[in-house]
Amino acid sequence: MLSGVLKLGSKAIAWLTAGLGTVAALAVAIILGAFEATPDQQYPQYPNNETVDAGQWRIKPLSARITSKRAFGVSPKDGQRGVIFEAELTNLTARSSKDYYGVFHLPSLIDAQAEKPMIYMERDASLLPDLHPGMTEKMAYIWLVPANTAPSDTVELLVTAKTYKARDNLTGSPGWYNDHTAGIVRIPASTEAEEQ
Amino acid sequence: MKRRFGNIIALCLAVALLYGMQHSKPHYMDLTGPIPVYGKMHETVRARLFNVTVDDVAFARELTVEGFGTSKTLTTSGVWVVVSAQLEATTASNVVAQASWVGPTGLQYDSSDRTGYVPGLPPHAIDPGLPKPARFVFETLPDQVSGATLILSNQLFPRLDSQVRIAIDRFKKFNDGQPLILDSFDIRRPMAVSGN
Repeated sequence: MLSGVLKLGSKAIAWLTAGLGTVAALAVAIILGAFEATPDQQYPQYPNNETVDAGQWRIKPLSARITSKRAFGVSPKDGQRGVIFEAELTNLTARSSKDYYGVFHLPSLIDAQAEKPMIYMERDASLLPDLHPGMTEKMAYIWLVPANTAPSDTVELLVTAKTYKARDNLTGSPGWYNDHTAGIVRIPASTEAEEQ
Repeated sequence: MKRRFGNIIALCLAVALLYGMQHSKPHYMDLTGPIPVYGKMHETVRARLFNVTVDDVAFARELTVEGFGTSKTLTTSGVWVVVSAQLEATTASNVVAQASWVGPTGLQYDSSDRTGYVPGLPPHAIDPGLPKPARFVFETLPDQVSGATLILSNQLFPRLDSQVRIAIDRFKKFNDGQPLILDSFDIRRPMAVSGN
């Protein structure tokens, strides 16, 4: 049809089709967000000791320390260190939730070698309690990491947030979806002296 | 030509109809949601699998619980709510696992899991013909007390099953409507049994 109008050879038509096809495929990929995961994003750094809203949670990073001693219910084994991070958390949603479990992450290099965090309420050292709407509590996150990968003077943590959808696509129920890294916390860490 | 035109008209009509239905008809989660059973304090409220009578609601700054032979005193950043009730299964033994305190603005405070396993607190295993005293413990904010609703159901997320909603209106309060908040509440305190 096109060759009839423009009087082009079949080779030229083939090149033209291939070129247009590539451009169209790239355009569709960009529209669908295929390049959103490229790692050139700079996350905002959250100030320490100040409150910041991150999705479902209002967070206030307080302190961090590296220890080889028992803290709450967690004892580091030989060759391990406990990374203890304290923060104030306020549930901004309308329902009690334990979803603060995934809010703070170590950077992926350390996280790959760390054990899953244990999270305690400072008030009475209860493990992973529900946090209720509007009730601010001080929580302690504890990761066990190999001693050689433990951060020395500054603990860096990625803050994961979710976004609210009034209706999800499958069931139409409201909820918090789409994990994304909202910011980063860099907090000076004290190291507790090792007992010999 | 006429037939193709007709097809396009039919397609447009179908899209418009479906769009209209999507926005005007109730969603799946609304259709398959819990079936509310409304009730008041001091009267027997009948759900599909259990009957419940709420006898008393008390508020306290501290809560003393005993589990596995040790007693502990729990503090809170808000107030503790202790609901005393009678539970009885209707046709078969079952478990009442879910209790929530819903404030006047709809914030949902699930029953506190900081107590650990304590006899007399949920989940309550109940049997037909054997009414049993049961307590529910919540943490909430003082401004979520007046106009609150107690929600009880067998499952965490009841679907197409009854959910009891009891308006909480009778509790010890001052003339300005503020609740009387005790310094501490001991969960081992025996319950006043209504009707005896």
